[in-house]
Amino acid sequence: MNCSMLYDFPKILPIKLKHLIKRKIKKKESEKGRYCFMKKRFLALALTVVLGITSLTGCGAKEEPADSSAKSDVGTEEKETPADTPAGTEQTGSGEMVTLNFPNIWVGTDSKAEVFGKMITGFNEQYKGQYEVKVEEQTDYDAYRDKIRTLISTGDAPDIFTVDSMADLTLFAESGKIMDTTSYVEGNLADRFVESAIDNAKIDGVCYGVPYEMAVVPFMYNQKLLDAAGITELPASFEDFFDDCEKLKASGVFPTTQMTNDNAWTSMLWYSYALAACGGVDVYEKGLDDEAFVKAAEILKKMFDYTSSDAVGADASVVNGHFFNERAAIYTNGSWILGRIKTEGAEGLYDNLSISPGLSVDGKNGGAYVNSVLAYIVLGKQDDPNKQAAAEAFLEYITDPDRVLELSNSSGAMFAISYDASKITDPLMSEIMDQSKAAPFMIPYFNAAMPTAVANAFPSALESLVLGDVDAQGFVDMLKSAQ
Amino acid sequence: MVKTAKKNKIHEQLTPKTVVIKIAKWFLILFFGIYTLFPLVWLFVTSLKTNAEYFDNPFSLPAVIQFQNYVNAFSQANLGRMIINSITVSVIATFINIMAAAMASYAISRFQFKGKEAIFAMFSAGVMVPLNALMVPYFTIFSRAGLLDSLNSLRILYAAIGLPMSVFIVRGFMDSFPREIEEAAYVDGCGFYGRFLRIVLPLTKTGLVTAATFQFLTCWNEFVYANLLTSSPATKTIQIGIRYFTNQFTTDYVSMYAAIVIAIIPSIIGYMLFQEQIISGLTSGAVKG
Repeated sequence: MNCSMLYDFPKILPIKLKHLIKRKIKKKESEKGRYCFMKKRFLALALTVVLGITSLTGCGAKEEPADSSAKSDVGTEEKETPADTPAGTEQTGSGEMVTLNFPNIWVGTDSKAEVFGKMITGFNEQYKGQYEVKVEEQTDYDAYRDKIRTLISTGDAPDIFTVDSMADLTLFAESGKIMDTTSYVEGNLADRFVESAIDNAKIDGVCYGVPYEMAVVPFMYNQKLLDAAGITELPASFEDFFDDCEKLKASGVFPTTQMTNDNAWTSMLWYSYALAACGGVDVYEKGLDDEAFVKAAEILKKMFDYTSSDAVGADASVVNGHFFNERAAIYTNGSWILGRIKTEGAEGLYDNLSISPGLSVDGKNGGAYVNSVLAYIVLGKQDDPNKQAAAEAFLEYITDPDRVLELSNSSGAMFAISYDASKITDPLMSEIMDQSKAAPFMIPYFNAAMPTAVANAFPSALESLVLGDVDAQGFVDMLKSAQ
Repeated sequence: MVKTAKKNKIHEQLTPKTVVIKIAKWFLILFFGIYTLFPLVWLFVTSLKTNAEYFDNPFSLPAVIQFQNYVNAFSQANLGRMIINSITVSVIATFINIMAAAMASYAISRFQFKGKEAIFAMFSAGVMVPLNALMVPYFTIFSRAGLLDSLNSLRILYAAIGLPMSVFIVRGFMDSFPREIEEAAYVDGCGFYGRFLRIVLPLTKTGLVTAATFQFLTCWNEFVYANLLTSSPATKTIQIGIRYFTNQFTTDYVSMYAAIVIAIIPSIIGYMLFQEQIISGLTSGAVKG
């Protein structure tokens, strides 16, 4: 027999047939036992496959939570909704209940999670049997962004979701898969929003995203370290600022905190303040060709002379670590960080904080505030009028000034909703609010004002600038090439 | 004779050259041991600190051991359920993947047919496709199949996306497997399925375990599709649980590290159970390719 034919498909079949015929002809008692054994093995194998398929099919039925603890008390999905339920409607004894799905980022350890969760529970109770908001917990923000983009691309936009940038909002609006909310926010909800918030959120006169959470970004100074360095007055200009940095450096602390990793968040905020000083209120409208972007880059580069040696490659934990533990004196971040400074900062740090608005350059553009919408509430496009009504009711519920005030007090976050500032319990937050109201102008932070591609290019361009691979003009050119 | 051998041994140990070699050898072993273990030890120590201690000095020891971080990880993130989900997803996806890879590799390795190498190249090219680029088509497929928010979507997807790597590994082992053994089985009357199931699979076990190890780790660590294709708490996997302690701007690092420590325990147990096959598979794979 030629064994080389063993793996040859065309030749193997005749051989196998021949073999089988031979075996049939020579069928004897002794072979019968072996045949039975093979038959049993085959039967066992077949049953295993059937069992496997059956168990897999069994798993195909949606997995139920092991117990009631699998759901959170904030309106998280208790059981799974059929994936293809078109309108998210369920029959109840009292009629048709409308269900809205909401991939929510304010969950888990987020500072807004507790009170916002209560708001959703409150909404579900108030509209029991009529409307229900089911929360899908989303904690990783980058993954959340990817998910929303994918859902929009595939035409499965969630009923409610949040977007953090105008660039993404514009993109989603162009897709035609999100709802026009102009009639809501200019109707009975109009007086709830802070002045100009709705106008700034419009795209070609249409409001696709309801401005909700605001990023209000002050300069934060550790007054104890400033006193130790002999600095008696907070700087009002970048010229004074760098003089103070020299003094702080001489006193043995890092004057500022900088980072280049992830989205280079805090350094991007510093750059935004430098842009406000160099370019004024309309700096973003002038575009990246404006000289202000180069001048601001020079200021940012100089700041890296007054920061920790681990700034290149540092992420938020490094930056926070330096400021929270009084190794660095000056810091900038959104007001939401105040809560963490209180709980995780060095003893007395929170009480030693001084707050200030932006600085001037050549005596111009001082006192500005970086202030941008951090979360727009967006509604997926609906054909069902019941769902539209449910979404409108939800918007009305979560923009209630008293509820938002409670959310603000509990989290340290600020909102585009008009509420009584005198009821803000935290003195620093109250001061930030007063300063931002008194600011001669406000600009959004760089990432919010620029297309996503430019924002994504910022960290690597910054690293190149700091490492000396490019100069300030080269830094801006890198940003431009990402456009 | 025995005395002479002992003397020779002592003499060998005392030679300056052997002493230097031994010192160098132990230095290298210790260096790589510390290099490998330090991040794990650091992770474990940090998971027992407070966030304030972590920010103050990432390399300090905890003043008071914070077992609460582990309680938080389990209670807040519901890690128990997530671990069970990850285990069932990873085990089933690995089983399907390895069976499919073994069958494909067997055919590619043994049989002569047109386009054989093209099919293998097609399988291998899959390694180079960035998975994030396929989010939209995969989502559409599972949406149309009605498998969204089901662990089966992850089982099927993971089994599929790991095929290029598994076929690449298993084919190498099948190529080096002596044909004579199969021929002997054939002469003894063993049929096609019998040869595959009773001869080829058991004797290429090392390769299969190597591929299964990589596949299991891929399934265990995958996050993007787990987040995309599932939504309810009942279908979340461990990687989503780890990220429960991060949010848009802040992170509870110590609870997250506690969750990571919990998440790597099943992998370590798996490695301990199969370490013999994994090590022999990795080393023989290195030689045989």
